[in-house]
Amino acid sequence: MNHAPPLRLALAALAEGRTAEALPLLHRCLSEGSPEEAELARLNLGMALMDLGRVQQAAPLLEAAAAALPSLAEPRFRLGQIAALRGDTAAARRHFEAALAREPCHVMSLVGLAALRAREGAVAEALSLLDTAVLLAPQDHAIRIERARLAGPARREEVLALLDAGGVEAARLAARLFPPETFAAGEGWPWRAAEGLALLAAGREEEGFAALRLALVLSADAPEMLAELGARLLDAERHGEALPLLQRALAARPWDVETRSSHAVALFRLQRFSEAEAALTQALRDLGPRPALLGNLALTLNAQGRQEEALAAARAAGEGLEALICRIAVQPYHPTEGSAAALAETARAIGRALPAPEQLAHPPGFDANRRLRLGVLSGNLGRHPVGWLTLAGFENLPREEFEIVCFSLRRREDPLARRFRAMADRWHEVGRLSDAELLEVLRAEHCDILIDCGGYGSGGRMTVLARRAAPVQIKWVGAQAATTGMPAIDWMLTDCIETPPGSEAHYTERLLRLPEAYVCYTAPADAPPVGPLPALTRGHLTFGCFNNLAKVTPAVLATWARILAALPGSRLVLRTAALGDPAVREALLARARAAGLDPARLELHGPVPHRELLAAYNGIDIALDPFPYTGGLTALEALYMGVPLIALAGSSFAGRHALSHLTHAGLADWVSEDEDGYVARAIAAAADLPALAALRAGLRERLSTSPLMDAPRFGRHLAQALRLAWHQRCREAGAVYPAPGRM
Amino acid sequence: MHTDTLRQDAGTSARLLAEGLGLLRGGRSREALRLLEAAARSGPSAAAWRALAEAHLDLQNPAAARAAADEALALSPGCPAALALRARAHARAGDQAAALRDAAEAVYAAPRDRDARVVLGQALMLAGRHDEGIAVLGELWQERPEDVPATLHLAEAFLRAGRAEAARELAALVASRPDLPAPWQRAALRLRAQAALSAGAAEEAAALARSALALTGPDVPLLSTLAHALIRQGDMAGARPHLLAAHRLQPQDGYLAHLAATLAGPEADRPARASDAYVAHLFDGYAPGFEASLFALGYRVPGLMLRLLEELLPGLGQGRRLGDVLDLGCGTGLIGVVLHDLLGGRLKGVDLSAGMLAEARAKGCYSELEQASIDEALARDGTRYAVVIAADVFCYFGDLAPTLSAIAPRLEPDGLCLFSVEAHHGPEPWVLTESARYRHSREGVEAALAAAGLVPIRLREEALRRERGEPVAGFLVAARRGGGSA
Repeated sequence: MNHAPPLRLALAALAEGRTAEALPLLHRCLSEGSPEEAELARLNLGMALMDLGRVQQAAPLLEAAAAALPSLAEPRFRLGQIAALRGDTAAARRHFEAALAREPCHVMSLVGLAALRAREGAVAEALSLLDTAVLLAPQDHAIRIERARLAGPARREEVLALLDAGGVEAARLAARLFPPETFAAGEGWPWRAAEGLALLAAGREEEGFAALRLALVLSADAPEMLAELGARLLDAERHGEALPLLQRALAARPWDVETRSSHAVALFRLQRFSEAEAALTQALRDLGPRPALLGNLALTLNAQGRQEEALAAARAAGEGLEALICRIAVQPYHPTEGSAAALAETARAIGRALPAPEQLAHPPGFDANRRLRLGVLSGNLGRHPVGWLTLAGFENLPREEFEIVCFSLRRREDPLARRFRAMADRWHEVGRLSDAELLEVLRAEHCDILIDCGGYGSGGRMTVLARRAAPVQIKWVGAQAATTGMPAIDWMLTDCIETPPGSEAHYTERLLRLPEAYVCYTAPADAPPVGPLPALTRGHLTFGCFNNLAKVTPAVLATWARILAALPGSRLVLRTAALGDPAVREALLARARAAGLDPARLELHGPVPHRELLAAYNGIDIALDPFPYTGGLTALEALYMGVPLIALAGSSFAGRHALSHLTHAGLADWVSEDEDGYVARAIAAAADLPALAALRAGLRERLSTSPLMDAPRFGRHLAQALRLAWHQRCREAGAVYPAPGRM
Repeated sequence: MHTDTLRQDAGTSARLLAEGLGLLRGGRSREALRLLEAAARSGPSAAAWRALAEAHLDLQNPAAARAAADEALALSPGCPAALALRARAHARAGDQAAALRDAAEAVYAAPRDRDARVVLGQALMLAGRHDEGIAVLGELWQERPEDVPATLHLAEAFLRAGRAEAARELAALVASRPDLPAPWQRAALRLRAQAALSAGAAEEAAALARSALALTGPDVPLLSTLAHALIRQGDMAGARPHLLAAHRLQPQDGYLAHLAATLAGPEADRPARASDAYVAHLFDGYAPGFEASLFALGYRVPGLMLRLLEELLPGLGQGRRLGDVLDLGCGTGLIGVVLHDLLGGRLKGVDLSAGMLAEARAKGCYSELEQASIDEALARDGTRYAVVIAADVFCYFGDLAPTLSAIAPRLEPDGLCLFSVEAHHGPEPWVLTESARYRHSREGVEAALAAAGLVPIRLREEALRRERGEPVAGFLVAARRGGGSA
């Protein structure tokens, strides 16, 4: 039994880094100790909780300590830190200045204030604050790093000297300033870390990760190194490798926002949505409402089919550009806010937040009839909806008229990706470039026309095009759910079903309508054959929906409930990645029950390889398409597997995918204008099994010969549309309009 | 090569080895490399050196792989796994004798080890001992017919041994298996199409390549097989887009670039000479079996060169010697062999291909060998030669004038320039053929000589070799510097 007073024991534990052990002791002092002891315990408890990342609990204790111990700088400094963490710069500044008024040599307050001033652009003032801090604490490494960061590459020796003292921060700073070769000679893990980061920045990924792994081993698994390697692996889409590293890092540094965010993103990308949600919720509780965390939370909620909460989280993130981009990612799924008009409003706000287009000289000139250089910007040139829906179009452009240059934002290695590379005249891997560098590379190619196939989504960098990279910029497949709202995007590639006459008001782009379908589907070569109608042998009808859960709204569930109620014995199969997560599955079942669906008639399946997903259509009689965000590639895959779909036409671009596809497959009568029509159409289709069986038997053939898959014909249409856009631009440039007959 | 300084620490070393092996098994050899180097250096163990050798083999660094395997063997002599790795490194570097030696020793040490036996079988194949190689690989397959790589190794051996039908059958057997992992499926489909092409069934090869491509997506060997099958059927226009696609997928491959250019549209766009990368690739790929295939083709050029020299330099061999000789595009050193007894001075050989030069070095006839393009070598060389020979080299050059102009100043006043070209009879000075070689007209050769200040003293038509049973016509040329010095 140890009879030392609890406060002394607690302080000893804190000094030795056993922070968690100190907590119960401090609580005891708080309730049992003398008033003086209690005050000290309160302050220390606040600081300890803060160190453990429990900022929400720490804040009131520190406020009380600041009031009770008015002469002390420390509680005020801590409150300043919390305010800065939560993005409240005005309060942070007030607290730091209050701390310095009490103790002019409070080093960390000087540093905190310097960081605030630097962010506000007052670099000289920040540097002088840091100079003072360095004088007061010459051994403090972090302060020197901050000073070197502000001073920039001019203080090369000072920066490199920081590496000897260690730390990921120093390595990051050095890697940003100098090329990889700078670090080869140095010894110690921060040098390896700097080298690794510099190699990654230079696009030398394998060597970069090798150096970072070496740094990790040499650092004896320092938590900051675990976090750094985890975050960089996440950048490289190596989520499975990143997660365990981030989990270990998180345990050691719960207060680090970046680690918490990376950890949640890794869970999200591994489609462990409920865990990602829990991680983000906890981080928001501890660290306050930070926009980046809220944005990720919005995406996580949306992926689970919780559209209302998702849009609310996105709205809570504010009106900054990133928050708006997050909002436009979730809004098309929202049952009421996913309309063309509402989406246009958000998109226009994005347009206003972006830099204005620049006047661009175009040395190749504006000859209307010459061969054109066409650029394509996307991270999804491979096995991805963008690939399946655009590849055949690019492959079938008349090459005497078009040269094609691809700007790939993500290295992909699959059969479709190889077809893209085999098709392109030139290929640039540009994923690692900064915005400014990317714009420079895009502009250096002098493309006549640039097509964006990434949008505001994770597969795109469309915001870079705001300043304009080509005289004609066109939006096509790739997060193409609504208008871009971006003044520098001149056209949206579409058709007259997606955007019928009258849609213009909801688009900031001009509408470049192809005469038939606006996409051309490449079916997988190894697609399984179409099976017979399952209802013929099962004796009951099986409906199916293989779309993302994000598209399944309460209204969709209620509509499906009406259909199943009208057709006793019928069943509904849902199959999508998010349903692999047990918690998500349970939550969906609860929502389905609330919408009137009998769980006993529901079958829920998680992710399977693509070929098996297609094969699963052989167990489906009729597909039920969601709304307001309708099926795109998913609709085409169902049709290719012989399964027709009941769909509802909306107003947004995403709301009319299914309508466009079904219309061009000759099945426009499967689309309804409202939920009653949707239910009635499903019941009618279910009533005529022979007709359903006959349709199924011929559907693949029908789709294959339709405009949706007639690639040569699509290639000609695409070429004509691109030429039209170019002619328009030439006319605006004052060039002589070409002789007729060319188009 | 990084030489990361590390503490000599068993724990660190074991950790680095474990991380490196994990990456290596996950197909990330380049990322593994530095960790394994550090592991081997911080706490030397045979396992670390073996893993490092494996990474180097994956990354096509045979010399480094061999060095690492040497270290592993120094630490654990006779280790079959290390011997098998070193055998692979030797084979990759073109040293078939050493490969065979190590592979045999590995099998001797571990007679039932399948990996060692695969290496031995492949080494026997590369050494041209086809029957023995097929016996070893065949036994492996019979032991485990379900072993996909073993089946593919055997099919490959059949193909190399010219038994295309057997190769085709085995490859088809593998390709028909359901749920084959993608890389094996691709390998099987490639072998099947290549075997059909070798068996002379060009139409079937094209059909197989096409259906394989539909399944796997663009694949360089399949595209190349398809293109060659179409060329064999005379469909140059059909072959072109496939070569172009293959070239786009592997833009750094000079062989593909050259083939693609060969079939490119109008004459004017064709390159004036084959790229150095094409020539180096062609011969590095074929070096070990190159001489055998040349002799099988009835290759006569070295003999013709010898006869021409004897004709121009009476008394050669009976006391009269050649002086310094420069052999441009020396290849495996066949000219060195025929001139060996007649040399009175140095014999320098120049070639682009390291594989070829290794074979030439083994013959021991050359006083100097340089890996360089002919133009580079001539530009660097300030000496003068009694004889400059370019035997069967100018088939990779269109316009001969620049090279001949570079040769002229390297000749002694009475020096001889000897070369052969494939003949073409038509108005153009030179044409690029569908087999990606250049042919030259008599007038074209004369004009190029004149432009270089050289005077022909012999220019006669000869059959250079046989191709598919037909003689290939060429010109044999001897020239001296003009301006009265002759």
